[in-house]
Amino acid sequence: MLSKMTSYALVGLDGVPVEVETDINKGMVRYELVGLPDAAVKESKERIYSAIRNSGLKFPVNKITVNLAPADIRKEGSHYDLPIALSILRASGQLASPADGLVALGELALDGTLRAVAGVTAVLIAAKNAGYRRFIIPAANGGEASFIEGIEVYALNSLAEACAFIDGSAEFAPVAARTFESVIKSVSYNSDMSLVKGQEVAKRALEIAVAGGHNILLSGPPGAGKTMLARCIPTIMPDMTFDEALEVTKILSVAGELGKEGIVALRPFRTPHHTATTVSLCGGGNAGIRPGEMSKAHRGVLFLDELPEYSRGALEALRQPLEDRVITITRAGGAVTFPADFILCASMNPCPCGNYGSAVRPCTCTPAQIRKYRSRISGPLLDRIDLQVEVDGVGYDQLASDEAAETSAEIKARVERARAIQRERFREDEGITVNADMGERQIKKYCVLSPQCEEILRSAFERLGLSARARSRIIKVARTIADLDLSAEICPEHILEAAGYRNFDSSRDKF
Amino acid sequence: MQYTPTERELIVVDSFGELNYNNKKNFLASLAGSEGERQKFAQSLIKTPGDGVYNKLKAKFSDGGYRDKLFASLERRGVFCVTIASADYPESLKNIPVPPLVLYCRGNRALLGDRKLTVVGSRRTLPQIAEQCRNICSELTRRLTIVTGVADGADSAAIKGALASGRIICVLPGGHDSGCAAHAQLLARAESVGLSISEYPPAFKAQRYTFLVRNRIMAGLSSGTLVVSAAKRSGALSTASYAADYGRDVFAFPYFAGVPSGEGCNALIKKGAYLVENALDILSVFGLELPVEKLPELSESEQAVFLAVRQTGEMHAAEIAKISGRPMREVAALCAALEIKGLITRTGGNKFAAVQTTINQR
Repeated sequence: MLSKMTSYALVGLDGVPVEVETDINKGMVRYELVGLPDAAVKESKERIYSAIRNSGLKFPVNKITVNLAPADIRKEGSHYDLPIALSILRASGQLASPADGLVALGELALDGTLRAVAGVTAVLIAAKNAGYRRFIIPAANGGEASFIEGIEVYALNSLAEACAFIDGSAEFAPVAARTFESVIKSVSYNSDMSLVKGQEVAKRALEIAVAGGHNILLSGPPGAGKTMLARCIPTIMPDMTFDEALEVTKILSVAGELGKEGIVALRPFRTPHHTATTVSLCGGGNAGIRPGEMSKAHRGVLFLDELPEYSRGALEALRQPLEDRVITITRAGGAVTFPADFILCASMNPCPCGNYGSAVRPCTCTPAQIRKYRSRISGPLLDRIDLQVEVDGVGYDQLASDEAAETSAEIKARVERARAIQRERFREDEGITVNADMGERQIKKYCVLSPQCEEILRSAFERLGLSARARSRIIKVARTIADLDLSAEICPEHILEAAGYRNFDSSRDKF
Repeated sequence: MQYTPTERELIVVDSFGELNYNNKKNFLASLAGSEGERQKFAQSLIKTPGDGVYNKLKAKFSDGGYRDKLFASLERRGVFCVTIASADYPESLKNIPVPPLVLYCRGNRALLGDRKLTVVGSRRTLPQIAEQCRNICSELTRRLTIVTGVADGADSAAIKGALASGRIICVLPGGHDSGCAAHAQLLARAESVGLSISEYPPAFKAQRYTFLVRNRIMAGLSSGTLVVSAAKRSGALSTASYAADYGRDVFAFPYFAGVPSGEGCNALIKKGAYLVENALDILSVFGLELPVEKLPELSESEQAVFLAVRQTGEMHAAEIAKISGRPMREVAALCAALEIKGLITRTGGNKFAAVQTTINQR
């Protein structure tokens, strides 16, 4: 007898429906699984066999053929266990009711319970768009389903429950809907700007970076607090909207890194170690292409500590996503595009020994060593980092002082105001939401400089030895500073402050 | 390039790597002298390069093919020679004990006749001192030509200061095409407007000792030597001591006690070197003046920040904010403005220091 069940395969962040067909016939006793399954899917046989028997049901002793259609897509992951088991049970007549329009996902334990699987959010969204309305998923993935409206999702505990549900022998309630607002209220960041002592220069630069979506480079001696500052960046970013949260959740769900909550309400902060390979940053894999750190940092912050220590290849791979805000990964099996819209925050020591510019410890590096160290970061990458600031060591007095610093919430309020101005400005420009996204055309349109400002820029170039490409960066940052100031015009002081945040460029001249 | 017969002979002899400085001089004398003198010289050579070598060199010396090749190679490399017999060989260099027989040069020959000041210093020069060196050099070039090396730190700063005027002479420790310059690009820029000099043929690789030997040319070329920065043991001090030996003036920047890169400078001042705070301190020794320049116009708030930084020396941006009672963001803009006007400079770690110039001393 033939039976069919529906499940889903993941292709990038999208889902493709997969028909699980089972045919049981008389003949030599054997079990065939076809339809391009990978190792995890092939091994499902043993799990299914035990799960069916331990659920008090019978595994048919006949010739069983299971086909995963379409047969030309490679099937990856353990979530086919449940649909295959259900389809075997139906084909062997143990499950009477048809299960049309029902999508099942889940990994089986040997005792028949359902285990969590990756990619549920992505599948639910794709299947909902394809017209599917009813789903069975493992109970552990229930949280992911509660934010998607217009579908009935049953989060079940075991194969036996799934059978009872399909047969109608027991009643189950679909997963209750939750609102995103309720989640956002219940979570908070561990860091806060008010916990960072001193560092006024760097804090101001971070505020500008977040307000305009600019990338930022922090340079300073070891222990100066670069990492602590970077961790505060998400805390001053505007709260994620539900759509943004869903995008992030989808990526993390595909990567299998989603927490219990089932949705990501806090902006991601990713810190790949400097031994990270190019593929781990960009994403990759042969059959099922997985998102990399850049995509996992989508709508959040990608923090690269000790930037010069990363491999050259990994750093150069950052350039295209920084420009396009998406990354396309091409493999022999096909190409997948992942979103990668993040703020890049990089940190580095000012010199190999780390003490250049330190008040306490003397720097022992020669200019040639410093030049060599800094040249590990290529010009094109540096050109995509609008703000470069120095973070200096904090004295003991500052650490011990109780002087009240601004909280993240206060800074966030200013950032949100500046972002609102930018949204208004770029209403008609497709794909541009913040100042950092501006191209030459928008700069010309929105950043009109007075003759006085032009004059300042000109002398800044001569005096500070800035590169020609630094010009548009300075203007963009100046635009953001003006937005923070609620000023419609870019004033001389905005240009001057922006020029001050290019000190890596200007100090290149010194070595 | 046209050379007189004497110049040509000098250049050919100088190309013989087998001969040392004295041998080269004697070789020329022997060619001009009688048979007896030649014999005597050939005997003396037996101990050094030997008789066979002498004969070989003599043959080479009169070999037209070798000469053609030599001059063509110089021409191709864009290097011209100024020999001790040339009319424009600097008089001041002739007066030192071991003047180079041939100066291999690239760039603007006219600079050799200028009045010159040598500027030397350590590779590890503090950023504010480097900035000061740059400013002072650019001011001095209105009256003098700057002579310096091509190392990091003080040398580079001096070159950058003098580039705009084109009055810059770089003295190399090796041949022009031996890659001896730490800053090949900077050297190329200096050559395009100024002059570079070496006493070695273009392909000669710099050795450790050639840096010290080169220092005598730097000291000998100019009327005075300014030491911008020098640790206790520093090549800059060797240039200064050559200058003192040759009876030239020695100038030095003063430093706080305990600054490692300034100990040599302070030691020079103790020994009687002129203390230099601005270009006028040097020019007045030579009896020169600079036209009066006005301080760039400063707003009231810029003035306040500038004075604060000048009074206390190096200062952190947060301290400036505290003293001037202005928010950080305003201070950042003010500091950038002053930096652009060339009055203060970044010294790393968000610290700023005033740059000493002639104008802000008046």
